[in-house]
Amino acid sequence: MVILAFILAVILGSIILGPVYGIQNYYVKTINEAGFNVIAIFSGNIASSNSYTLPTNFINISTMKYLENIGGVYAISPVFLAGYFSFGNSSAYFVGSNSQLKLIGSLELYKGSFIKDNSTNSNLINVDLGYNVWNKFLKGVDINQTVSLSLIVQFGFSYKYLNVKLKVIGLLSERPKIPSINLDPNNVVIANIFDIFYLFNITNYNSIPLDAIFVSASDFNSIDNLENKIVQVLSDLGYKKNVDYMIVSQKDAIYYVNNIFNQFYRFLNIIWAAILAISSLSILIVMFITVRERYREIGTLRAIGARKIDVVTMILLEGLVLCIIGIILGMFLGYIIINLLKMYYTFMQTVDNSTIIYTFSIIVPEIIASAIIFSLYPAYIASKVPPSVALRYE
Amino acid sequence: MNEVIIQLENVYKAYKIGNDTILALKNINLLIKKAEFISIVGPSGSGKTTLLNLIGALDKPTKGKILFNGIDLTQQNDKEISKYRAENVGFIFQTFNLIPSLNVWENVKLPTYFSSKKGFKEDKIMELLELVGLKERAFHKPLQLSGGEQQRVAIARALVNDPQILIADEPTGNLDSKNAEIILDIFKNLNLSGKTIILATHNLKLVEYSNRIIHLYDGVIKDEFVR
Repeated sequence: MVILAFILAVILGSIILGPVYGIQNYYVKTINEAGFNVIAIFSGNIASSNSYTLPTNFINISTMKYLENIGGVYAISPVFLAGYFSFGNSSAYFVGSNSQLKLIGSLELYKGSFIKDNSTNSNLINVDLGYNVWNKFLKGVDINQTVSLSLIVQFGFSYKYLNVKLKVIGLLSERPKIPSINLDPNNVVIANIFDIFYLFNITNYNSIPLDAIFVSASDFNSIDNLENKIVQVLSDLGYKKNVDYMIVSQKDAIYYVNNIFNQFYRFLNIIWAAILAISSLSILIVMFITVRERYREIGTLRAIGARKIDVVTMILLEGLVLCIIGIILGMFLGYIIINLLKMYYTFMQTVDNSTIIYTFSIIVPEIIASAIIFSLYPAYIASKVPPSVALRYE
Repeated sequence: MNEVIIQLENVYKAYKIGNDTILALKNINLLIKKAEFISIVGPSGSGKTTLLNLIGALDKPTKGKILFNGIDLTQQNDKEISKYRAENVGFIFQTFNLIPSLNVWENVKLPTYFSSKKGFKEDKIMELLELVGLKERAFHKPLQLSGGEQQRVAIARALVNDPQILIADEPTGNLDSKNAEIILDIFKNLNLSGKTIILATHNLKLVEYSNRIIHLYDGVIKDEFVR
């Protein structure tokens, strides 16, 4: 019965807390992996209170040179979303950027070279393909191959189709998707931004708003400082924050994720406390019954010379041994159950072995502490019973 | 032989049951000498077990003093009382009170964990089991033994720390006459080897062998016979 209480406590604790630790770790890890000390300045459509509005003051390529010269900038890249390619139920975004994006986004190449900065006058556009694009959507495509695709471009509420010829110059390795951000880095086709402007017959670059500018700070701790400098420079250029642009840093994203999860933990801790309280109460009741059933044995031990402290130690050790057996079985079963759940629930797949071990490292000491505390009272009561009374107990 | 080992001075023991107070022992004065074989007799409820519990420090008197070799047991703390029970007293109960999860050998060894006496050797356990005729049953569990055998294990356990006093509460109460005879022989030999034996019994053979018989009635010593 006591062992069962411990087993259930470990299983419930690991199933409740494990996935949440797993999801948080996954989010933070993904945000970290998504880029190196990144600050994103979003231009184009800015979210207002209830709808999207176009800013009056676009951020464009000419703005870049002011930002490039700020101290502490490690890399800076424009981002222009040219449209998307449809592959059945999936799609890949056609992104215009420069080679600095590789440094900012920690983009790793499986093969080939990252997009070149120099524009070409050829009809072929050099592209790097995201992992899903070359590995799933265009299965078998390789470096230096040419592909013809239909680019879907949105104009207001209508769509325009452009046939484009792309020359594959790089294949990107698999990247984790940033949760809650629609743009999956595996589903991108990256081209030089000037090639895209050429494709769209854009000659006056300053007339086209950039969708974003990605900036990388020299280290994680200087993100805030750099962000302040960027806001200052943009302000000097007449851009209003949250009207003409939004600025989000990697630090903000991690803070936001941690903040949400911390609130969630507070709620989960109440549930965990309830589980612990129920298991502790059952430990207390069962230990009382066990001790009561063994009064005569305790009386005998006292008669042959056991001190009160010996009785307390004996009962505590027994409680602890039962607790450890329960914990070991609970950890074993919890591990199996989590792995079974991973087969049926996608979100459980974020719970890796290190998360399971971390969860156990949190809940096991708490369970051991409760076992000691709640065995202590029955043990104390048993030690207080006079041996002559304990020996008569039926 | 004349050395006093236990002395009870004006000992009272009262039990509170609900609102009533029951006096189990009233003004008991008793001197027990080394190597005496004392039988305490009396009807059920006369206070025999209570008296044995007080001598064995399993309980404290409501009033009065209990001295062991001149030391007042009523003034001792739990550690000192436990040491007294572990090293100077061996208990034998009517219901044997062996630990069922331990085998015979382990049951006999158990009191040594609570004793600070130096020089204990595990060979002694087998010697004691030989003394009570159970050497062959050393690794059996108590439930595999007969009542008489269990009581002999309890005697071996009581002797393992070489106590000066053996206290037995109806040691043959649950045994047939043949086993009772075996227990009597063991007690005789132990007494001859210098152990002080105090027992509460209805067994006439044990009483006959005793060199002092104390007759308790309604919590007081009614008669005392010395042979």
